[in-house]
Amino acid sequence: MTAASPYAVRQHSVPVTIVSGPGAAQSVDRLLAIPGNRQAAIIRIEPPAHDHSGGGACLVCTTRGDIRALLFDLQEAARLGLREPFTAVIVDATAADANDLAERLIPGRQPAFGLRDHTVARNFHLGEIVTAES
Amino acid sequence: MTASGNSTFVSELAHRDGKAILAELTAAARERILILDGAMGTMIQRLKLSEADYRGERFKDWHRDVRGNNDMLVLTSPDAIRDIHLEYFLAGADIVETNTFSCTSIVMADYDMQDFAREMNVEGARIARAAADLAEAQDGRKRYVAGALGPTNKTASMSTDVNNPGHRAVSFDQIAAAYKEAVEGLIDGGADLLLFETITDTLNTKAGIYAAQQVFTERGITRPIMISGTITDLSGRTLSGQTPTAFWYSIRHASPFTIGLNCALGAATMRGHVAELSDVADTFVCAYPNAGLPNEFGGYDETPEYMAQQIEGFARDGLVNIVGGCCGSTPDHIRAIAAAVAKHAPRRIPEIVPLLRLAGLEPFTLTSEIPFVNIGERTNVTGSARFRKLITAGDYTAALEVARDQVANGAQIIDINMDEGLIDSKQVMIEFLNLLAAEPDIARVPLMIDSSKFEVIEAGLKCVQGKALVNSISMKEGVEAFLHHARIVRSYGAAVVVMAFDENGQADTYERKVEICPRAYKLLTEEVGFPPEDIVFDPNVFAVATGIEEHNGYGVAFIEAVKTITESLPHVHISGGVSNLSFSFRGNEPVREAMHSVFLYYAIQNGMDMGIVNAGQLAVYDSLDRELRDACEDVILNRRDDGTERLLTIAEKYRGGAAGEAKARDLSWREQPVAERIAHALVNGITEFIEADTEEARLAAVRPLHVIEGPLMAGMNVVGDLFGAGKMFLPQVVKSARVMKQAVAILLPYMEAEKNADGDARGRQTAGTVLMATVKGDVHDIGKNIVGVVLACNNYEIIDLGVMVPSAKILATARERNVDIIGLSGLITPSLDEMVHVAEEMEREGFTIPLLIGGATTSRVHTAVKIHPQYHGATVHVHDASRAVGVVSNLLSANNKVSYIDQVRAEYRDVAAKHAAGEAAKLRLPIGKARANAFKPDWVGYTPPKPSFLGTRVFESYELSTLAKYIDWTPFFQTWEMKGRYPMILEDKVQGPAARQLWEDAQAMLREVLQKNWFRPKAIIGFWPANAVGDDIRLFRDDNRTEEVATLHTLRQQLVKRDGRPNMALSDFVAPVDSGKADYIGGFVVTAGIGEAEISERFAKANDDYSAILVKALADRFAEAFAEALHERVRRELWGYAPDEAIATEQLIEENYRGIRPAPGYPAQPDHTEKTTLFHLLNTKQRIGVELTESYAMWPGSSVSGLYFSHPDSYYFGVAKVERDQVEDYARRKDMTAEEVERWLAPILNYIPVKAVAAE
Repeated sequence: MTAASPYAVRQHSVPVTIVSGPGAAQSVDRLLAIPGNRQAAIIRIEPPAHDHSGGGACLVCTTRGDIRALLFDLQEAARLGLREPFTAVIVDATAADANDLAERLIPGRQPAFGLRDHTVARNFHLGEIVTAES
Repeated sequence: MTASGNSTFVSELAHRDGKAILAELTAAARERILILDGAMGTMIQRLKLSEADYRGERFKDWHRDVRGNNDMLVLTSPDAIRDIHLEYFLAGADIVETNTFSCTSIVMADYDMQDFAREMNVEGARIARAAADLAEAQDGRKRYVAGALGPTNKTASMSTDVNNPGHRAVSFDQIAAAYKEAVEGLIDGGADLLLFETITDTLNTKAGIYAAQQVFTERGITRPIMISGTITDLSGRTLSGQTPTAFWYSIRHASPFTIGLNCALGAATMRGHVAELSDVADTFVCAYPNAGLPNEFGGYDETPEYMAQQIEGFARDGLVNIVGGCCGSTPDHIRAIAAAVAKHAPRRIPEIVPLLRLAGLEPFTLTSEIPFVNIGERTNVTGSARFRKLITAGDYTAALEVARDQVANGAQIIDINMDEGLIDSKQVMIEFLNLLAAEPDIARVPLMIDSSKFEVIEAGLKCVQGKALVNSISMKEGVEAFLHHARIVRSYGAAVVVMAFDENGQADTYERKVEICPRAYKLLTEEVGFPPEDIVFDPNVFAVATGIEEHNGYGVAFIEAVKTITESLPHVHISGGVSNLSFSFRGNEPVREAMHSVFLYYAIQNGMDMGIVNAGQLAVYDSLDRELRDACEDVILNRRDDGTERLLTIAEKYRGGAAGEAKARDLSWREQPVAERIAHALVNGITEFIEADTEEARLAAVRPLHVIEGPLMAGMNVVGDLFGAGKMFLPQVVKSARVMKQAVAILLPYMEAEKNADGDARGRQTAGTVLMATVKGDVHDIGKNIVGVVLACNNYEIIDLGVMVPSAKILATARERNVDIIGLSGLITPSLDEMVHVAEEMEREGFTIPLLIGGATTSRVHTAVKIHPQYHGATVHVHDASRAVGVVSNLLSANNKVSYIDQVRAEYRDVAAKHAAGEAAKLRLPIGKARANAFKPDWVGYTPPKPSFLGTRVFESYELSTLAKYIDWTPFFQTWEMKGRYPMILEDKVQGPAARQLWEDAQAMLREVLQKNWFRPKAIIGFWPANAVGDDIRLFRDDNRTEEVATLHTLRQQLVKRDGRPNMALSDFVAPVDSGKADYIGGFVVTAGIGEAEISERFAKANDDYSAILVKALADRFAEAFAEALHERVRRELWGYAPDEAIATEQLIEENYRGIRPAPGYPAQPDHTEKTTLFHLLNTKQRIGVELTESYAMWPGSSVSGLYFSHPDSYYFGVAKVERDQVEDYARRKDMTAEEVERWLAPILNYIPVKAVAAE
């Protein structure tokens, strides 16, 4: 259960399914009902919120809302026992661009900016991208 | 357009030397908490500037969009920026930050504005200074300008490409050059300080520090430096992966005016990390969190009042010297913060003992508890032939594995050396270090950058974000070159190994060694300003027993020089390449190991505290063969002229010693047929030949399954019979199971292949499937694992869900896998309640299969009274592992099942009825009367002792071999269900042989644990002024006893006492408030560390449950031993009320000493929830990584906690059952509901609580 370090490498990479489109929220609920997905963790992408400096980007504050940061926090929460362990992740991308998210998950596409990005690249991989009609 | 205009401006303030600024600020920061400003970006956002506003007149035709380039506003809207600064000053800020966060050529390149970076810094500082002058003119208070230096948008310590971890988008030199330009600009514009902030990559900041110091040297001035890191997520690490303490160690060479944190987190989440820095940093601490987290409207959540309240908490607890705000904060926030903290005194800078403190991603401190640091040498091309081959072949992947293994085996520092003639050492050093940085399990530890070429060392230092150790520099090229190299090493913040080497060559004699080292020490400490604790001398280990007479004295010369050097040069360390010593015995490893062990034995006694040795290959001095040891000592200590010949003579005998020993064993059983050999191996637990024997049996059998059902099961049946007859004991059975498991592992692939080839091949028939789990909130699993092994030996299939398993998971798995029985385990009392819950859930979901209950706190009575009535299926308490097979086979037997269950049910009904009657008969006192009969020592004539310190202190890396002496072995044997006291149990008529074998196995594992540093024990203790108020104990911040920090609640015995004996509560041992006596209380948490779980899992994966259980049992003993050792130190030194106490270990275990250390959750205070207060006071999760589960079990599992009481009459008692009146009173005191308290105290309630009935 508890890994020694926040950066420990898992034995099996966790698939990340991205669900977008107008019916994403309902679709996520349906996906969850599939027996194999019981141990899935859900991430809902919040709409872009934070403006560090009138359009400029504060590195840290923007990476906090980043999918990689969210996955890392998810893993860390499980490691610390703050949530149940998980074997899959489903991302509700209603409020985000699914392709942008996917770009950030395909190794090497978007620059890494922290050690955690390397850990996320080793421990997670892009699974399916599902577009849900309403 | 070119950079022009104001860029040549140089403020007259630029020429100040800077010492006065530092002196003024230091004086002010000692007096009160200083105020930093709030967010600039948030304020600029409010101006709602357009693209045209950003451009202004000067950049109206710029070829890139610039909206969002806030820093350029110092050129295009200087008045607006100045007004924001002024607003902050007038709101109470002492220091504002210039609007230059992104003003480096690196970041400005995004707007193609790199040529304006310097000018922006100059103007940014000038504008802020102008605002400061206006503010000073208004109220006469002195104001300061901090030149802000952001992290840049590139990172020197990590790759931006996860597919290419060795790649770097920017180099140390490029970052340093960019920062240098910015620093020059800020100083020219009149900045009073430099502030490196929002640090995401420590290596970037190290380049910034390097650049600033260059500017200082060139100009002959200084500026106080502030350094502020950023923790971005739950892991509590910086983006580059360092812990706060590791971060501090890595930049400490800047001697910064402040260290601290900003951005990314709100005050509440930042608090623990600030507290960590506050403890470790011997400089001022500055914290400026965000105003909470961003909300969906693009603003921040925290109002000025709320944020001020949070930050006031920092101030109240003495964590900070400077506070301000980051993103989302405004002048209103700063005004509120300034008002809130004005009431509080600033944090006092702690004294930090001068110790060698290095860092990788995690910190490493060479404390006196670590007598010797093993520096792994296998990543040294000159020390390891294998590593040299891998490196010259360019196989970095395998080379990294070597490094990883070293760290996994306990190396505390690893040595990286690439001095090989055939490769470009400098380039390879860079590439390897860059790759290593992306491997967190290696980069965790500090590095030794090792080369004989200084340019390779410097190149290495530019790749390392942590605080490294350089190996080595010396005076061999003269004093000038030595000083030059030392200054460079220092500018990267590294510690240094100095070889005893001068213009005349390497020091070989004692006289030369003790002449050169003090000379180097004086130069380093006086000329370069090197901290003495960062100096490691290597007085040269040379080969002895070479046949050349003058070499004979080399060993003893080193050993004696170590003593002289460490005694005369305070704080320095001694290292050496130990393997040189035995060079003439190459190829004879046993003799080499013995020589190293003897050499270290004497050198360590004299003060040697580091060495490059192979941690996995070091013999234990005491276990060396006497003859060999004596011969080695003769040679190393140069005790006799013929020492070398004598060692050579006996050396041959020891070559490959282990193989010779095996021959002597009785192997006659190997002559028997294979089935009997397998049976023999199973009964005797011998794994050595099982693979070959199983393979042989498989080849002879028609199907692989037949081997299991034939010879293996036959052998296990013998084991089962012997165990049942009391002729075998648990440890032996577990060893048999290990043999079985390894045999099955050989057969499995063949069985799978067969299954694939033939769809309906019959699988293995098991006697039934048992699901086992340690319930939610509990982490203890030794007993459960033993039961699992024993059942598996009897052909049951075991599904082990591990520890902390939620009820839902247990039930889902049971359904999915169609199990026959569920077994629950738990050790702490709250688990009893969780088991009741599981039973209720099973009932609700309509289960009918039997439920087994086991574990240390479970009992037949509890099962009968509390669990059994909840569930219609059978519930059976299993007292110990030996009973498990009997219970399970009865429950699954077609014939006996019904009658067995009826019998258990009848028995439990009877037990429950008797229990109810018995409890009702016991007389209990109302709580008021019990209190009137409290224990009342004479406080008038008693002066409580005062601890040597107040507050908390962490003890890390306690030497395992010291702890081993404190181990109480009796409970270790109990773990294995062997009853009797140690050491008598070893001579017990019946259990003796099994006990002795277990003892030997434990000793062997203990040796391995010690050699490889498997456990990482840590502890934290604290002392607080305390006085009792009724049954509570109030803890105070300091000896003024005005401010309470916590209240510990205690429970009182309510049983009617005879003979005038008192009704005890723990609070009776602390002087009551109205006694007027200043009393104290202590608390502690110790842990054997998380290593145990990993290692145990490694064994389990290798089908070795025996070792997996053994290592866990040892870890538990270590944690207890640590608690015992620490308590002794508390009594003798840390609390110090028994300085002359001297008792033997046996007495320690019997606890014949003054003072007690009871733990919440155990008889003297049965309420586990009290641990929360203790853990909170000690901040254990942050400080030593121990936390509480939802049931208040400690994780890692091998941990011990408790309170310290010093009163001479204090003793361990049991509260026993309590009445409703006390529970209600207790709930009021704890501010909990009575129902909640009843839940946690369920096992000790003397009444049946009324359950709140849920509406269905």
